[in-house]
Amino acid sequence: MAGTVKPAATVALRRQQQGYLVSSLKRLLQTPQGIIGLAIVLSLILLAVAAGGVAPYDPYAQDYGAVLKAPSIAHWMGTDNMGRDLLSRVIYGSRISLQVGLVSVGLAAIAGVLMGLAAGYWAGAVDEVLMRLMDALYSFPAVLLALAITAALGPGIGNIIVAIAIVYTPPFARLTRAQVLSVREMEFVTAARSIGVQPWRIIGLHIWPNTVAPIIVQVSLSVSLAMIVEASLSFLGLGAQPPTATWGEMLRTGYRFLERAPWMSFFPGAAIFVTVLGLNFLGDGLRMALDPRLMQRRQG
Amino acid sequence: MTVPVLLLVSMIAFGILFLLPGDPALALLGENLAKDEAKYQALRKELGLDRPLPIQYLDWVTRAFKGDLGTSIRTGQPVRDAVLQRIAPTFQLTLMAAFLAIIVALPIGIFSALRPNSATDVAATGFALAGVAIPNFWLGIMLMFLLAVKLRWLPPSGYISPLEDLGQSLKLMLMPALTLATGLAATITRQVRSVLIEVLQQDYIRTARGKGARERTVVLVHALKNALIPVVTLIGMQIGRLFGGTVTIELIFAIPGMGRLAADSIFFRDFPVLQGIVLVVALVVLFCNLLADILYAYLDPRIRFS
Repeated sequence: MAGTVKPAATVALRRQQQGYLVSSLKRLLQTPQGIIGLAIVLSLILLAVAAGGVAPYDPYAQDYGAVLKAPSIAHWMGTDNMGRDLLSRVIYGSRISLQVGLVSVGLAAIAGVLMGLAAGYWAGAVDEVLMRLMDALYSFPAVLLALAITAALGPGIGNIIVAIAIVYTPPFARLTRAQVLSVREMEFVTAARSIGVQPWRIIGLHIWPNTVAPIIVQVSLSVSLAMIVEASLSFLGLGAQPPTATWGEMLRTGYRFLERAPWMSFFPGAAIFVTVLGLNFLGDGLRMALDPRLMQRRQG
Repeated sequence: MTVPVLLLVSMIAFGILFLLPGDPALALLGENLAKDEAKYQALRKELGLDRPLPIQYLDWVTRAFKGDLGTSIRTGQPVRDAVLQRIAPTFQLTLMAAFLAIIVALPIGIFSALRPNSATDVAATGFALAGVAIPNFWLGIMLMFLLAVKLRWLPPSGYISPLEDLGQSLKLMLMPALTLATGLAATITRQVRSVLIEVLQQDYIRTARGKGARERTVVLVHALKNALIPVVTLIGMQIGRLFGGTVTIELIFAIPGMGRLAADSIFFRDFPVLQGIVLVVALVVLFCNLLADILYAYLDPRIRFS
């Protein structure tokens, strides 16, 4: 009998969770920020995935007959100092930016959330040590710390990802800890503890789901910051090595030709700008969608 | 509270050198000389790398505390002198940027808060959103193209000390300072707007209006005084960060500051210098945060004694 009861309960639970997801998405699409942000981010992901089919030229094909050509019908964003098509390079560049942004923030979120859960739940010495370490990490300006770490590890995308993950861990740890502290004293947690549920089970099943919403918002905002740091490091020559197309590296080359070919600097930077704007919009939209109270206040 | 953080900050700055593949001696020697085993061992001994790590750290941190940050690999100059020589331009850039950000953001924030959802407010919100999202090195390059290359209003790049020629110094610094200021200006605008809107709904504001105070007095004296408290804290927290955000801007505008020094030391793999800069900037950030806390307590008597 127990076998038939359990799946039913699970199904009910899943339906409820789905309800939350669907209603959150619906609310996201009710905010103008959410729509614009989602549209920008989704088209960027699409562009990155389908780069091979969308890009009009091979991003690495050099054409010395068309060096430093201004934007035209043939080359919408013009060509660079090696006659490569800028539009194709900007499209391919989205792959690196997205990859670095998502992977580094993913790592930062995992590390930060685990630390925040531990610090918030156990308090005392664990909390003190972890949080002071986060304070110390946070005292270093992002670009400078990421620059020092990448310079030591050596240039390259993998090392940039590690550096950015380290730099952006503290916000996740702090945010999670604060959420845990407010949830920890609630009655359902005390109840779980009183019937002898194991700490990590309490954290995983009862506390974590209540901390998710602000973390999702933070992910969206952190990815945009991570992309700017990646572009800054690539601009300084610490990123993927040429000829790999990245937005920061294209700006680095473009800057040298600013007077003769300003489009070489304009388009890659504009791509970063639009992407970051999209992610920030998405973050704002998510903040409202995931917190129904905020939404009501806005509409009321 | 601050002391453990200071210790951890110094440990992180110390630890950066140990992220180098191999060990610092190998990195200092460079690839060509690394095969010379005798030389490598000698340098290891000279740098004290044969000792246990905690001892090395204690030694490094005591010397750092006395102002000895090691020697630059590139120039052989003490790191302290190399950093001190470069601190003035970065300081000037940071201060000018903070000043510009405040004088632009305050009025915009106030006007938006007075007329929420008006055309001014929408424009200001747009400015704030764009200002946060724009990568500042790109903004710098675009400003340079527009103001220096096309319009020729400002000199493109370079640095002159304000003690030498104040006018020219400010002129050269205007573009980089504007570039650095944008992000902060956007953040301040948002903050002033949201805090002021909240303050304006308080009872004592209604009382002030009720007793017949002029609107200008109500906003600028009664409301702004309270609204500015969190803004001052924000500015304090951000100034330290501005100081560390100058790397790309100093490179673009050829300003011989600490950021430029950091960028150069990557090229020459001059890690003691990089380490010194990272430490100094973190200390500046911590100091600014402390200052912001003190200022906060000063401005808001309610939390002074807690």
